[in-house]
Amino acid sequence: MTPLMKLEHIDKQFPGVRALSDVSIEFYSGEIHALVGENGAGKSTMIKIILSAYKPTSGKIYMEGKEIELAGPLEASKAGIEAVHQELMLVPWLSVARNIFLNHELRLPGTGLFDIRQMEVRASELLDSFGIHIDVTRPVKEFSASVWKMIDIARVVNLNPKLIIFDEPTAILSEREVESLMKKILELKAQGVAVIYISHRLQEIEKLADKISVLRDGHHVGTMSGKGMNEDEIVKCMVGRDVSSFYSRNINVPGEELLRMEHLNLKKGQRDISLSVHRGEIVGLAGLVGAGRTEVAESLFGMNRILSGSIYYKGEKIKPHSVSSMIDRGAYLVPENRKYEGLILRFSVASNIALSAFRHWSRFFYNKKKEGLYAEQMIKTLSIKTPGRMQLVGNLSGGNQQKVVIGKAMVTESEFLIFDEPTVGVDVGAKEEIHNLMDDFVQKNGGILMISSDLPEIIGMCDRVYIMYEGKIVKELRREELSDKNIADYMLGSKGGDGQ
Amino acid sequence: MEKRKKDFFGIFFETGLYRAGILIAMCVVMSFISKDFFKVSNFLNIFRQSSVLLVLAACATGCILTHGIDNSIGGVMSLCGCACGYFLNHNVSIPVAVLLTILIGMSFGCINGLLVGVVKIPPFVSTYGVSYIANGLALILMGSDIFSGFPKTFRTLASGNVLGFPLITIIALGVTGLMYLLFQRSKFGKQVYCVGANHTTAKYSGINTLLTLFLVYIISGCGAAMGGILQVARQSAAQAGMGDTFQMTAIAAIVIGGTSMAGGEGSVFGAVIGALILTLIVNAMNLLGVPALAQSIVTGAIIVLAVLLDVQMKKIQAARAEATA
Repeated sequence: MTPLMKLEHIDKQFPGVRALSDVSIEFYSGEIHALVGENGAGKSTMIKIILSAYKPTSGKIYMEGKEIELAGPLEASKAGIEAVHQELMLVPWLSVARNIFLNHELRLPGTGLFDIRQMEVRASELLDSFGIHIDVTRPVKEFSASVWKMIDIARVVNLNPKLIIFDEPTAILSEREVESLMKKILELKAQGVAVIYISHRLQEIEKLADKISVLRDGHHVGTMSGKGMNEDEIVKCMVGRDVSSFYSRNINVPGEELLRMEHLNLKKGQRDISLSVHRGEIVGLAGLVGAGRTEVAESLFGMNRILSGSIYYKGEKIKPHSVSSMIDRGAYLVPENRKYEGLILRFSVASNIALSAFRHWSRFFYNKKKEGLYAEQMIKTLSIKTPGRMQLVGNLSGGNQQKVVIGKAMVTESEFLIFDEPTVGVDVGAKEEIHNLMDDFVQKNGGILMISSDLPEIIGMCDRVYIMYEGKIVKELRREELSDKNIADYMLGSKGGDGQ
Repeated sequence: MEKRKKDFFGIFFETGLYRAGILIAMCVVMSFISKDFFKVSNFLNIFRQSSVLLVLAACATGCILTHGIDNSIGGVMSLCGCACGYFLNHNVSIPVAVLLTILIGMSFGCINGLLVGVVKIPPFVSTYGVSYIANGLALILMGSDIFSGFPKTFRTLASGNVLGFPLITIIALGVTGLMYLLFQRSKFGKQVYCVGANHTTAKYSGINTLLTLFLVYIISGCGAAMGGILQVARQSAAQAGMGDTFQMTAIAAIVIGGTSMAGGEGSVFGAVIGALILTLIVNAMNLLGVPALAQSIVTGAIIVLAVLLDVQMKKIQAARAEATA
């Protein structure tokens, strides 16, 4: 059987960097081919070559046995190659239906005018098959990020491609949506589509992949059958070393109370929120995307108004009104979206690390010397991989960007950290390091509230977990009670619901 | 500190020094074309002519750095100029008149800050509206009158010399220097850049974004007022609409100087270069005897060319950055 697509001895050279060297891989129709590797291993470069957004420096690409040389993504699309990109690729103010048919609009026969009715009907059917039931006449911007993602996926699937690349499709999806996506991908496979699947979530790869190709430092380490692979083996191939245990926690006896929320009712709709975090603890806040977890965290920083209830911080009753006042008290929020909320991508590593602390460093003049000093210190203690502190943060990998955000918090000498999805889009190696940093932080008498949609992370890291469902905390679980099933039941609202 | 190897061109691109290069190149070319150009008197003339623009552009740079714009500079300048003339003609002492005028400018800046920061109306539109209001007030104050006959001491602001150097230019450079310290070197300046580069991140990092926005518009209003005062002193006259032509010129000077309309990038130094380039163009055309009617065509063309060059330079810069990444 001839492979649908075959890369032969592909080299890609950027000025000063060899992103891919001598990569040969075959992709077959009706097969799910997972592509794994740490950030910077060359996955994106390879995808871009398949989509012909990049031209390889040398090497050949065959499609259905014939050598091809496509001029760009548009031609690739015509040849039946599509990708679901990591970034959201929709036009926010156009309707869902128009987005799905963007550039492939259905037209009224004989006129050339758009047949909007027909598009809406078809779009609605299509999304129903993904388990998404929304009004397709509404503009896309009215929906949450995870719905965007599903719309984008539906759009690509609707083009009936021969080869689909999924680049981190599940990073922002909730558990339920991931499940319906998995089902869809298996359907595509049954229809004979070749699927290239990239994800940092190894359980998904374990579940889906027929073949797994590993890239490391631009080299193709090998392709293995996906059947019977377990996570540890995959990780070992990716990193090139044993990552012994994913979650190493040193459990402490909880110290004094850092934060206590009592019966908070919040403006954005969260009701009767009560929780507490002590020194030495990592407390989880689990729930589906949209359950209101981020909103609870934001209430501590004056970004979500408190209608009633009280907040105690270090035993003192406080009224949070601004981010800066809470930073001054030693609390820090590491936000969910590091690119748009945590960092200024076109500023240097040093400037970013200084963002929250520089107010205190100087009276009138900006203290560049201190900025440099703290930056060097953070780069060292957090082992941020960067050519130097003047490197632009936008050029770093996801994991290192996240470490810069953590560095921002560290230089303010925080004692209480809220992490919102701390390891989304972070590769396994860096993920482990971030978890170690968190463990270290609570060892040193700090406290952490961690919001996460990653169940293994919640189970592995937390001393206690609060589970939110539709704006309410429905359950508190102790470490020994934590299990996939137990948490998921409450997250999905199938257990608990009312009273705790 | 890691030592990065930087070649000559690297420094040239990254610091935006090539804009100063353009300015110098223009001077060199002019020296060959016109024998009247390379004279001390002509240079002093250029400085004198550019002073008002320097003040306006330097003070308004902050707004653009925050990803905003102050479209009310012209209107506020007109109103402030007229108000200053009014005060002087009604026997208010010069320092008090100047102070009151600056207060008027700052209060308009306050209104802009309120509209942009609190009410959250896009700055392009809100400041444009404010400009109309200021212009209207100037018209009510003046009708079609022209105020003149100001005290000689006041006119010295523009006509005076200190050690052979125009006083007005010294004032302008003083204001510009202050703006440089404020935007480039101070803690506040860093906040301005942060808010412009990423408002959300600035907020999450505990920067008081609202106060920052307020202050940049107040500074810009203050600049418009000072510009108005200096212009009245220069012309020895105040009339409604006197600031109109300065509006776009000031914005153009900032943008030609390399300050990005997208916010978070640029400098006061750039605005100075921009203002000097624009003044130099007019000066050169006068020396070459380009008819007044054709001058705006040439100015327009040069503005477009300057921005085009900047876009190209940025592309080269980006390519270089990718190459070294």
